[in-house]
Amino acid sequence: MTEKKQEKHGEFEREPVPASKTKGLKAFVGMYAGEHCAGTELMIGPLFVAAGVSAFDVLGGLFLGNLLAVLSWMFLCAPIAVRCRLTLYYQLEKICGRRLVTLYNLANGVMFCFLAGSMITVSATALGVWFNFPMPGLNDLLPNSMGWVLAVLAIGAIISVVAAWGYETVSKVANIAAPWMVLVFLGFGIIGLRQFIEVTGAEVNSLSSLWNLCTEHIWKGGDPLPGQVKFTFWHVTFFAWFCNMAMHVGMSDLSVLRFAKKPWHAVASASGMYVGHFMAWLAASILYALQLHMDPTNTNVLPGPLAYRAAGVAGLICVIVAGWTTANPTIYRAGLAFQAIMPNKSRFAVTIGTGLLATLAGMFPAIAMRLLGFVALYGLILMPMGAVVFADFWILPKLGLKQYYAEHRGLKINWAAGIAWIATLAICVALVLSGKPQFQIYFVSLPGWFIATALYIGVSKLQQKGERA
Amino acid sequence: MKKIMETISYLSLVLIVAAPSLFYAGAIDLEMNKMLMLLATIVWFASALCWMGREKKAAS
Repeated sequence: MTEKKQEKHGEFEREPVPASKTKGLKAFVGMYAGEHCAGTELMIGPLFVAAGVSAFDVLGGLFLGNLLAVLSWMFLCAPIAVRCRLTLYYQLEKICGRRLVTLYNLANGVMFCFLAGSMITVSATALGVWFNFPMPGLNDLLPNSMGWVLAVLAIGAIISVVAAWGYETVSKVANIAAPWMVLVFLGFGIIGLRQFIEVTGAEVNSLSSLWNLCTEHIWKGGDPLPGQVKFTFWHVTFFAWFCNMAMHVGMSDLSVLRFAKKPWHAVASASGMYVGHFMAWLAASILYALQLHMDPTNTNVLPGPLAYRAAGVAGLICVIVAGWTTANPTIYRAGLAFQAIMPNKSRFAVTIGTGLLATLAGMFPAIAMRLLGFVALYGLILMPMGAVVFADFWILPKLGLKQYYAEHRGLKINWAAGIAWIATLAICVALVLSGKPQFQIYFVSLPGWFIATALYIGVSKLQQKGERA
Repeated sequence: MKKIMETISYLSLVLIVAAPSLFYAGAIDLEMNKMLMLLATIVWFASALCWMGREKKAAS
């Protein structure tokens, strides 16, 4: 196919990106900064406070965890992306076979739906400020009022229709909103800090007095709120590292970074990590800590009211736009994943169906209120396939084994990859259920990656016994 | 015209951060901060729509 035809049918979905279409560092800086400054940041920051983090743990943990995430993009994902220049899906198809990729697409699509659901939840909390209906509390798992259900339904329906019809327009609005949104997040932090100074009467005139305010009033540490898991330095570090695990270790960003001129251009992910997953999380957590300081019984994590108290209507607009602009591409991506399974259905019908599923998920506050655990689970489910891609690219040739085995043998399922995926998940779930603190859902993906790699290599060796690379 | 809209856009972004900073410094109260942030928001979207998408179109 010519380049023109390829572009028309998608962006080089089944062949390497040509050198003429590669992009420089700058193209990725803005993309990562925008993508990782989303509605869910307004949930995650407050949930850290609810988990009883201390100032050192949250600042140090976020610094280290985000650094590890950037290094994962640079040294795990980008080198393969730039050498192969293929989408994850095509690369997986060559390794795993079409049927296994279909299963992967299904898992990916379902997780995207839940993630989009939590973004719709975030936007709906802004409507709660305007229409004053009861909103879910921190430990609510089910919708608690008709107003809430209708608000989620209204926002979800609009987002779904727009995702199906006007994806390009929303993408344009998202690009325009991105720099404004980042600065509004920064504004939240500055305003929250000032309000803390006012209500505590603290004098902040040096770095050490600012640190005192942080340790004594904002991120005090101690016990988590009832029903929450206590977060230590390592929890924060691993959460920040693994919350985008599907993208870096899980290799989903092969599809993005295949357009990079050089592997080191993945350093651009630092813009997303330190703007969205450092500054925005801290700013949102300051607003929630202030709410708890003013009224310790008000433990509700509701981005709408938090933003409204700090920045008024501009804050509410930010909550709606942040949820909307990020839910939109997420529903679109989930729709694409599902469409790969049902190629005969129209893109419109699949996207609407996907949006409705996300809306249904958004009605249940369980996902948003348990977002820390859900995000860790999301990474865990998709991570083993990243380990398979890594081992297939770097390790198998060194052991004299065939790469892209499914393509080589014309298999629909490469059982080496299938076993690596399913067995890793089973082992990791068993480890989590063992209840040992070192195997909490936040940490288990690290041993899980080594297990998946070892399983894929081991089963590939057995599978290819007697064959030559 | 495009240059003027661009300048207005950037000034509105400055205002988005300047308002909270002024509030932090005690120069304005919270209500004034909220009003300035809303004003900056409206100006940003109105002015950025005039040039941000078009710049890319022209380039492509």
